[in-house]
Amino acid sequence: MAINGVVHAGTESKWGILEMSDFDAAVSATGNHEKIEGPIPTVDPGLMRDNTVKFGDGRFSAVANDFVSDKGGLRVLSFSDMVVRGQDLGWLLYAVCQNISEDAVAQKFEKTYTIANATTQPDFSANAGYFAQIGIYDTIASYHRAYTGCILRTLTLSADLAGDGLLRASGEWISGFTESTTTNFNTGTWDYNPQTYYNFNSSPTKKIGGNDVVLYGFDMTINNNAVRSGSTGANGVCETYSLGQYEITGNIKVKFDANVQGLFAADRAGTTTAIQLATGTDGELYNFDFTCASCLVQNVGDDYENEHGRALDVPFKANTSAVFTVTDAEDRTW
Amino acid sequence: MKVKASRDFQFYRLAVFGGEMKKEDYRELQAGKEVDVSASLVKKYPNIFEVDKPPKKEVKDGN
Repeated sequence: MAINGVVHAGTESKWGILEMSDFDAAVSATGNHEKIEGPIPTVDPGLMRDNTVKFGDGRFSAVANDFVSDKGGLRVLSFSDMVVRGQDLGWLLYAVCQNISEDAVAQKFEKTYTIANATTQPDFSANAGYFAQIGIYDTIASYHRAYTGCILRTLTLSADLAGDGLLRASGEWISGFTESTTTNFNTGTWDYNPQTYYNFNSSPTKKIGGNDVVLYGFDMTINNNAVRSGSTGANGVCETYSLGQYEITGNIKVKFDANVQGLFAADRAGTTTAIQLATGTDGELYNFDFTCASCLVQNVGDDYENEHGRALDVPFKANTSAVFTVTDAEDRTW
Repeated sequence: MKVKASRDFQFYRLAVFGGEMKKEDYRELQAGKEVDVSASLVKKYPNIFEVDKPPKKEVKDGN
C-alpha cells in the first residue's frame, strides 16, 4: 500500500467531556462533547502484561507465550495545562469530590462541594455520583478514542499571578471500562464553554489565618485515591470505584510581610490555620471559592529570589473539612 | 403517592432518572421534603420510599 502523504497537525485533534447517566453504558459516538481548552491527555491503557521468558521457552523471548489483557485494568488519562472555562469547573470538582449540593437560585445555581471526615461516597454501580465519557477526537475519522465511566482521581487547580492569573487544571481521569480506539465522533458537536474564566487577578479574597495576603500564585491538589473495585462481564470491566481517602494539599506563594510571618510559628507548633482563596464576587457569576477553616501549614519556605521580592511559600494540607463553591449560572440539577 | 428520599439520594443527579422525575420534585427530594410521584418510581428506585413506609434500614453510606 502506498503511503498517505497528508500530514495532520496535532492541533487538529481535540478532547472533550460528555456527562453520562448510566455508569456501564456503551460508548456514545453521537453525544455532544464539551470541548476542553488544553493539550490532549496522555493515555495509559492499563494493560496486564507478562512478557517474561517462560520455562520451556529456552533462552530468548517467545511472544506466543506472552500474556496481554485489558481485563481488570485501569485506564488513566493524564491531562495538564487545561484553561478552566466558566462551566468546566463545576464538572471537574464534582468528578473528584463526588459530593455536591446545588441551589436553585436562577442565574446563579451555586454548587457547593464539601469534603469532611464524615464524607461518604456514591454507589457508582447504581448510577450515583458523577461519571463521564472522555473522548479524544483524533485526526483520522473512525479512529477516535473513547473512555466511559470516567471519574477524576486527582485534580490540581492552579493560578500564577505572575502570568495571566487564570485558573488552570491538571489531573487524572480514570476508567475501569474497555477502551475504544475505533469510535467515530463526527456526528455530535464539540463546542467550548463560552470564553469566561476564573481570573485570580481579580481575586477579592485571599486570606491566610484570617489575614489578607498579597497572592503571587497557588496550586492545590484534591486526591480521592480512587481505585477500581470488582470485575464483571466478558470484558472484565469494573463494578464500582473505591474512594479510599480524600486529601487536599497545595502551596500558596505570597508576599512576605507581617500578615504571614506568624505562619512559621504555626508550622513549628503544628497548629491549624484558616485559608480562603476566591475569585469573582461571592455568590455571583463565576465566583470560585476555596475555604478550609483548619489547614496545617507545613515546611513554610523562604523565597529570597522571587521577581516580586521577598516571598514565602506556604505549603498546606486541609484538615477536618474543606469547602469549594462555584457559581456558574448553569442549572445542572445535580 | 407521597414519597421521601433516603440520605443516599444526595448522590444522584436528575439525569439518572431518565426523564421520569420532574426537576421540581428532584429538588424537593434533595431538600428532604415530601413530594407526590407515581408508584412506578418508588418501585424502580429504592432510595425513594412512601412516607409511611420507610425502609427498614435507611441507606446512609451507599452500602
